[in-house]
Amino acid sequence: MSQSVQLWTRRRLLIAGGALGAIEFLKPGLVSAFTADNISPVAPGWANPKNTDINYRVDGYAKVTGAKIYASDVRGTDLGGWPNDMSYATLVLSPQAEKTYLGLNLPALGDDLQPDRVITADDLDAAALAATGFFDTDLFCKPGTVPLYLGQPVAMLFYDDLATLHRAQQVLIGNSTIFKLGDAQPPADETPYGAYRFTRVAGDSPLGPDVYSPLLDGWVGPRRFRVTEAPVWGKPDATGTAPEQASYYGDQIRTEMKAGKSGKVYAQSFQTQSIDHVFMEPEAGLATYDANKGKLSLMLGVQSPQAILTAVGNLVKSAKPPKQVGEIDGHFASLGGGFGGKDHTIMPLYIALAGLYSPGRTVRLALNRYQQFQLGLKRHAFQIDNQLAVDPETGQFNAYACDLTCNGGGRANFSTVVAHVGATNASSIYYVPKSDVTATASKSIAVPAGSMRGFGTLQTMTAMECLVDEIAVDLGKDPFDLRRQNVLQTGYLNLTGNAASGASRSAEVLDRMEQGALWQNRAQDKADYEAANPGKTYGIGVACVMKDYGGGGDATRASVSLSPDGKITLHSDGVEMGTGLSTASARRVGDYLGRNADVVEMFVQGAWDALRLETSGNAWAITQADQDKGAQNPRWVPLIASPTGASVGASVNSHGPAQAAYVIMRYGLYPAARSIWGEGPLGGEAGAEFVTFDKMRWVDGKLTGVGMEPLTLEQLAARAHRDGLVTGAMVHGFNRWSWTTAIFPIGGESLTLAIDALAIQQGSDEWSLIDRTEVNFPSAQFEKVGVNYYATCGAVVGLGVDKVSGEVDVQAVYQVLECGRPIVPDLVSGIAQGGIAMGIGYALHEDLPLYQEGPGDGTWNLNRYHVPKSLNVPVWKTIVDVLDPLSETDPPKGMGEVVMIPVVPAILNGIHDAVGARINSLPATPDKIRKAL
Amino acid sequence: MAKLKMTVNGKAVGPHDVPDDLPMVVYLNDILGLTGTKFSCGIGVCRACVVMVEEPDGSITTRRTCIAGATSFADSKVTTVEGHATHGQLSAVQQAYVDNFAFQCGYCTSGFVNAGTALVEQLRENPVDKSQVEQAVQTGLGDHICRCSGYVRYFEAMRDLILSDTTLTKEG
Repeated sequence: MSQSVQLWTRRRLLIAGGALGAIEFLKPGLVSAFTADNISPVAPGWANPKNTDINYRVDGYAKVTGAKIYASDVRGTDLGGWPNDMSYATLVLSPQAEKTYLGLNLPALGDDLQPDRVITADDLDAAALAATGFFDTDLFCKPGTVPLYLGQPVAMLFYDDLATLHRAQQVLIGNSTIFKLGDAQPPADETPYGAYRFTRVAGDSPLGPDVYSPLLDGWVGPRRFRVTEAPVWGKPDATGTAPEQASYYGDQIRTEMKAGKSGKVYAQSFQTQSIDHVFMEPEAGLATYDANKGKLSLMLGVQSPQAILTAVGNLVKSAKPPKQVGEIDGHFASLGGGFGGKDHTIMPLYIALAGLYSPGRTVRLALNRYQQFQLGLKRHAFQIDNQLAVDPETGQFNAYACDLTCNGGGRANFSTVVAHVGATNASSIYYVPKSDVTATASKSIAVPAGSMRGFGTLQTMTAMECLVDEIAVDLGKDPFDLRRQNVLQTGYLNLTGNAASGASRSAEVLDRMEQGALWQNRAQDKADYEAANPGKTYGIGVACVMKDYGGGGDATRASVSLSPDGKITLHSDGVEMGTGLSTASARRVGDYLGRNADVVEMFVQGAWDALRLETSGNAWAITQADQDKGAQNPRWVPLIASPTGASVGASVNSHGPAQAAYVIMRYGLYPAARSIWGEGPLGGEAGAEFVTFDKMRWVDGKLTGVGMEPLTLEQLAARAHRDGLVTGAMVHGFNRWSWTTAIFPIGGESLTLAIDALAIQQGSDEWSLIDRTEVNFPSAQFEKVGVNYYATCGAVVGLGVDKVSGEVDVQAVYQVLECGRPIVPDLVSGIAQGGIAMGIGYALHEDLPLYQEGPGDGTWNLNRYHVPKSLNVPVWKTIVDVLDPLSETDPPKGMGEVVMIPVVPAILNGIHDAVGARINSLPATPDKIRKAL
Repeated sequence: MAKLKMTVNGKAVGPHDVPDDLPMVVYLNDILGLTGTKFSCGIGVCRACVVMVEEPDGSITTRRTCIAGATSFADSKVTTVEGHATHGQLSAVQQAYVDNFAFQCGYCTSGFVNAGTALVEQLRENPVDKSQVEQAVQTGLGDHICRCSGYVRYFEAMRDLILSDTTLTKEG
């Protein structure tokens, strides 16, 4: 029986030492002092009897039976050793950021709702607690200052009684009387968080070499920002520095376009809105603080555990008595995701504070939905000004210029990264020989924006796909032909001057979209729809995008162990975000071991000591010299751990388990099979055949090849354990737009793997570290690539528009996806279906005002924020078509984000097809459509 | 403050001293320790917090627990998501959802389990034409919000389950 064991014990990370900010991993002995809390049930039945296929998700049973798998489920009594006495905390969030905040007016709560304790900025100052590093901000607005942003916390209230907390939270909703305010003041500082300029001029061939590109010449930032917050770029100089050359070539591109030398120029001004992630579980966590031991314990549900605990370490590293912390014990719920909204969220810092100010108690800090809207990260709103120069005769794209700005709100998060990812993907699936794209991450008093599915590319590629549709209509060209004509082909260089990884299959995706019934039958569908719906017009829209995946610095840690009776245990540090990474990882092990992992533990943080990893520097900014120096130490890696984000679940997080399983197969199961097959006189059944590793095949759960007797995993495992062969492998891998490879001496051979650290088990539980003899980290230059791993996705949307009300009704969606080799096809199509619904919401329904009357005022909830319900989605007419991989060796590609994107521009293009209105401001509300008509 | 007792998942619970304004979801989560019922919007829109209630006449309905006080469930027979599987065996609705990979994060799943089960029970009393099954699923589940799945697999799971049980439909 397969099972998923979900112990809090392994999903925990301890940090300690004199300098917490530097992170020091404790020894296993201290970890073992913890009492295990096995509070999640096993998952019976998820795999078939032979465990060679799956029936459902590893965590499926737990989720349909209401098991405790979310951070919000956990209480002190669930965690061994935590105080049973509970306190409850709530944040007081400023609904305004224009006036001076003078302090709290607690009497406004009423006598019966006075908190048991309160903490404010003064308390943090007195204890020398401060957010630094990534979260460099004032955690509480200081009296006498203007809040940095709408929704900035001003205080935390504590209640020891649960019912009183709930009453207080109800009273706090939309309550402005609790704040003492002074005069209106201008924002203190709105200097942008950063800006980039990506300029590229191709040489004679799309395959390169380029005349100028970010890859060749380096990334370019501005010299400074004007008072108006506009970036000031380098002085144009063809022979000057990289920034000066960028200005020279970029200005030249724009001058030529303006002069009509590049063809007909299509200009577009496109706006996208701020939206909320609306992950269904509002952020919540527990904390407890043992002042005598200086130990702070946390229970969190996040996407980036190591980064979060680093941030908590930064928070307390200079703390004065009685808030000093010598040890942080982080526990993590088995689900950590939320479409990016729980990646580098600031909420855990407040959970940590809640613990520090309630010593001896377990404190729960849980946002209600109003607070989640008010404090939670948002999707960046974009202003995009596109210009695309096209040969009006041939339809060839000649030059592209774009200026985009994304609004990061009032606290730095990932805004500069969102800006550059949006910029470097702005040309969508197209090749353009000359391009000049500027991207600015602006600061404002809006609720802070951060990572969210699509990460800037949703915005920029939506704009581009609408612009291309506009061009096709204007030039009278077929929308598929125009796209195919300009598609980025294999080896062609992208906006940064780099070739995409692997074959480009965008044209295939376009072909499949065009062949689909929704497009082929569009005339009849239109006639039928309009006959059945008087007053409504049918339209059809198409769009196709290729979205990058990977973060340019991604790490994976995994171990696979085989017991003597053939049970496979998998540990991974990947975070289950709901997309099914645990299931996919279990499945991917089967590529080499013939069947799924029997036990799957995700989010494992404290089981990697055997690798003895060391690191230094910043993986994204390291020099080649420093990397080369580090590489001389066989323990050194550029990055030990990274968040599960950027669609890396399939591509990176399941890579580690696959590599570990390969080592077991190659140096454990294969020699074990040879041993068994070779028994008997003159080499037994194998004696007369040429048996080699490449001939090995798993057939119906048994290993065979070259006509040898099929062997069960149990037989092989027993032999491998008896003979001291490899029965377990622990690995670390690193990807910087390319995999690290290293050579390891093992089994008398030199084995090259796409990992940089390896430890093995040989018939026991003990791990033996194998030092690599050679390593090839991706060049530091690769950081300039910006983007090279892509998955392509296209959508055809049929929709109806009410000509009077402007209401849009999405009738059918046909989506075509190319994602390499899907590990679990049911998971892939399910994620795609969800992406389509989210795209429909983004295109038509979801919208948050950035400032006044927006979510920062604390009055927003799902009664006024429209998340698509089933009636808004063509539930029965949604088809997802996944291209077959080119071969079974295709890598799985990250597809969690790309699948929500094409439906958005396809809807906008469909609206134009239906009623002739070009909506360039999201969402396409009935009001905007009516006005456009 | 009231002395509250009820039946939850077939077991008598209480009496508990419970304030009149304590939401049922908090009572379930924090007093009874049944955290399968989820708090999400808190205003009765998303329906992640839905539980099943057996009415005095034996009929099955659903109620939202984030907007209803616990005391309003006094003496009721309530089934939460924890109460559907028996001896480790999933109910038909639970099994249909996992077999169809219906959910992803799963935070909305308890509401869908209860709503789907209530729908099956209602159809058992009043079968629908086979041609109306998709509409029945829409009516039964359509108010529930799921952010991950796009609803497709939840709905297909329920449709296929209903069509596979001849007692739930009639020939049109």
